Amino acid sequence: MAVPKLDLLQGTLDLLILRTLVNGPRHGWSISERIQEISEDVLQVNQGSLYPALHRLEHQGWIEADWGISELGRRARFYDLTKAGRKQLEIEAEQWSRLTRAIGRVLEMA
Amino acid sequence: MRWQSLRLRVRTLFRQRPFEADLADELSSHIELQTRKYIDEGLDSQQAYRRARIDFGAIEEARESCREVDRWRLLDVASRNGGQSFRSLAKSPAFALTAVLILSVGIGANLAVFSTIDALLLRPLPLPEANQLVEIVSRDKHGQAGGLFSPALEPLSQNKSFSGVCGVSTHYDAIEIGGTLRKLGTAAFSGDCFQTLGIPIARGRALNPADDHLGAEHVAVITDALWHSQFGGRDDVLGQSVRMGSTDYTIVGVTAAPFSGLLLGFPEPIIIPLLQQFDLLPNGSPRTSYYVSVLARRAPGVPESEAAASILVQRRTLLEQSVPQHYSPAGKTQYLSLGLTVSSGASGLDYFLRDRFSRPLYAVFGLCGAMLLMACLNLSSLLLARSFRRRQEVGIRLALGATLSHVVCILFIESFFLVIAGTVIGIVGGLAGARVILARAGAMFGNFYLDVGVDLRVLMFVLATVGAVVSVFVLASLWQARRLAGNDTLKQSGRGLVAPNTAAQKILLSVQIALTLALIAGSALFNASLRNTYSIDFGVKPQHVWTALLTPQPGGYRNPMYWQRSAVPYYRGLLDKIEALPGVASASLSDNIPFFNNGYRADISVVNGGELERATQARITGVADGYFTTLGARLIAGEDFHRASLATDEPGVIVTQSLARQISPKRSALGLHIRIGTQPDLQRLRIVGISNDMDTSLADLNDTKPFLAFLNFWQHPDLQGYPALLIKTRSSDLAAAAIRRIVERQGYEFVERLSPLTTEIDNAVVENRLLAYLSAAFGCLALLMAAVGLFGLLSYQVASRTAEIGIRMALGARQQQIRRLIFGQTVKLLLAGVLAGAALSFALQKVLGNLLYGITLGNPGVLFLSILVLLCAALIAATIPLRRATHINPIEALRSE
Repeated sequence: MAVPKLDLLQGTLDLLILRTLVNGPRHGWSISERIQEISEDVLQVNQGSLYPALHRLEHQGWIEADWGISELGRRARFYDLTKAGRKQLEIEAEQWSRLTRAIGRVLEMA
Repeated sequence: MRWQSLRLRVRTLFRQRPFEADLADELSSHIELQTRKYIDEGLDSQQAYRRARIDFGAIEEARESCREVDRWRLLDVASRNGGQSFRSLAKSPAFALTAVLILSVGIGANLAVFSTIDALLLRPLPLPEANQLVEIVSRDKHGQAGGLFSPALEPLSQNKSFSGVCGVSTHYDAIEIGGTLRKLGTAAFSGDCFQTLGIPIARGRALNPADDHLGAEHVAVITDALWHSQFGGRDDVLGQSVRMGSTDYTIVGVTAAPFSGLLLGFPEPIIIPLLQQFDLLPNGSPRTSYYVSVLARRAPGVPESEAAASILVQRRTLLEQSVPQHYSPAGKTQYLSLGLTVSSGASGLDYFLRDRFSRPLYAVFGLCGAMLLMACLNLSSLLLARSFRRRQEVGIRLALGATLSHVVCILFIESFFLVIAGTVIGIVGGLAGARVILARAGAMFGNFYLDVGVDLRVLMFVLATVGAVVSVFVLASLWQARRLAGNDTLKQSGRGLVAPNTAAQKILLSVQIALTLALIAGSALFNASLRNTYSIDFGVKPQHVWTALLTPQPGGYRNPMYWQRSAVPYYRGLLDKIEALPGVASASLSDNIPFFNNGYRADISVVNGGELERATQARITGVADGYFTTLGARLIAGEDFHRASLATDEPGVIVTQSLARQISPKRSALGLHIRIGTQPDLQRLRIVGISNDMDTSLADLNDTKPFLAFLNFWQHPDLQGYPALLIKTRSSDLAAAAIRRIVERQGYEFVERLSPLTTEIDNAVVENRLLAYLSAAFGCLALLMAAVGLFGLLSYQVASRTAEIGIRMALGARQQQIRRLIFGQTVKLLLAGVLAGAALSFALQKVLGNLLYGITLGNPGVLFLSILVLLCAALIAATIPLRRATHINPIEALRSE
């Protein structure tokens, strides 16, 4: 029995993308795979919105792209975190944990 | 915008591999990897690929979203669709050419008129902080503007509101440079002018106060233009001389370009100190007082109102210190009663150009604006109809996720090409047009020269014009895109049984019809006005009359003492010789060329014993005997001057009938004595003749019986300007060469311009002619455009309703009913346009009122004719496709798209 897959909350995709890139450059497919893998298939990245998000982040200067060779020996675009991206990741991660803490407290105590 | 983003976008634009291909690669590599993953999980390759595609979802949507990130994608879209639009335009070259032509005429005409307006009315002098300059203008009790005598400059320079003052008199003289005689504008500057105005010097030195003294060395400064044209731009120009009259002026400096003088349209390439003009007073003593135009520079922080107030306070002092001592008591009183006002001097001095041409120019500008609006509307509606053909394509694009702005962009590209081509041709043509306008003006006024420069204002105007044109087209495209997006286009297209929604085209067309009718009405008004102008009874017969402006040869008659003694026998001899030429009926002299300049204005009153009665104003012209015969006027009473009259005889004067009636309403004015102005020798003149009313200036078309008084040239040879020879020939031929030869052999003068009097009349009403011809041309063009627009809309409408017509026919409708259906709409459209046009025409007539002569109502015939032409265009437009539609088999009609 497969675990029901959850669609990502609006705005969290950027955060997850930035986080998966902390340990080095990845291409789009590997980012989505990584997210699914780590979340044990709970989080499903809508691939139709993955690429626009990557392009948006690139334009914002948080990640940069370069062409490389994929595992299949084909041209693929690899994304890497920039300095500004790392800073942004810290900010967003902090916001996220504040938010989840707050929601957790409301659920426990309200 | 972030730097990174900008960098990426610019890179996207210039990258060799286009953005699209990269995007496709990136997405397909994702799908490949996903496919591989499923294969590894044990699926066969086809199933794996299928699942990978399903996982991904709508690829095109993702792609569009990626494009969306790059806001400059419109450029991308444009470049991708540009080629297609270009090919589509190339397929209909007639449409493309017409559109470009219409646009370039519209833009070019506007640019031409605006550059002329800029050159004539807006452009400041090329001097530092020209907006600080003011002109101090004197006004007599009739509001006539003028200057002051130069001694006023001294007290004026004490005025704390001004940081400097400058007196300028301008002339048009025969100048000898390197042995060759030329007529050139000259200016005489008071001592401080160069410093006050800040005229930049390229070489040598400026004139300074030390030069502006009697007895100082004669020096001159020339402009850069003269330096290049007459001295070849050589360095040895300093120290060379120019000769005016019998005086040599040493060149001490050259002004820097582009300064060409202070007088609008009439350059003065030679500048000398005010007191070094070679003039003597009637008693033979040198002059120290000159009539000058006064310019001043406001002191920093002093507003114009404060400067004006300080002049009011100082008025009495300025006038008292400058009133010429040789004036008669009456003349002094008149001078002391002048009012003084301050106006902007930023764009230099001007004696008549702005007064005469600013309103006609703005009227022409309005015409051109209407024309351009018309062109835009016309093209928009044609483009709308064209883009409607692409509705299927647009529908598919929208369904696949294209955005509204994307579609607008696609629709706009076609007009974009047209705008670019139209603008380029329009700019080239417009500037050339402005040059032609000003060159024609140059031919009219002799030494007139005004350059059409592309300055910031002209540039801004072009940008604004093109911006307006583009926004009309963008709005049209937006509107069309919205409509196509709103409809479920894909479903409807092709199968349309219902007429396409052409409301936009209809509105555009109604506006066009209204504008066209207004233009034609305006044109009818201007042309009627022009006809009226020519049908005015000027009181003269200009056929076979020639005018020749006489100009002194070098050293000619500059010494006034000598000249006054010799002028009378000199001109007697000249006239005798010219009259002896075969074919010459009569000849005379005047100090004004009729219809070119019109004499000076002076007060006139009847001398009755010691009393002065019935004061009025009249224009004064000096004429020799035969003037009235030559011009085809006649003397109603009394007799002409005699060629043999002596200065010692009782001075006589001839007045026009209206003036005679004004100064002596009860009995004949013949034999009465009048005084004119304040000149001592004009204080008691006997009226020896009364001429018919004549208008030789056309200055005010509503007053064709101006008061004119004619002095006897033989008794008052001290003419205001250079004399003009008037010659009446028996046939239309004139022995021009013979006349030039006679004048040159006579010794003092040469013929500067020789032209038929009819040309002078044409020139005198040139603004009316300009308005009449331009409005007629524009009216015709507008009519043509409206007819084409009407044709386009109707034939398109009928053609696209073929299916509906087929059904109606199949259900038993008769051809007549179908026709009524189509024409009913057309007539409604026309009616709306006509009503709006009539209202517009009426308003136009109110606005134009004071530019028109003798118009009570526009010519309704022309309007009816235009409506008829439009109606015919509509009939033809609808008839051809209607015939086709009503004659085909309903089955086929239903099948047709």
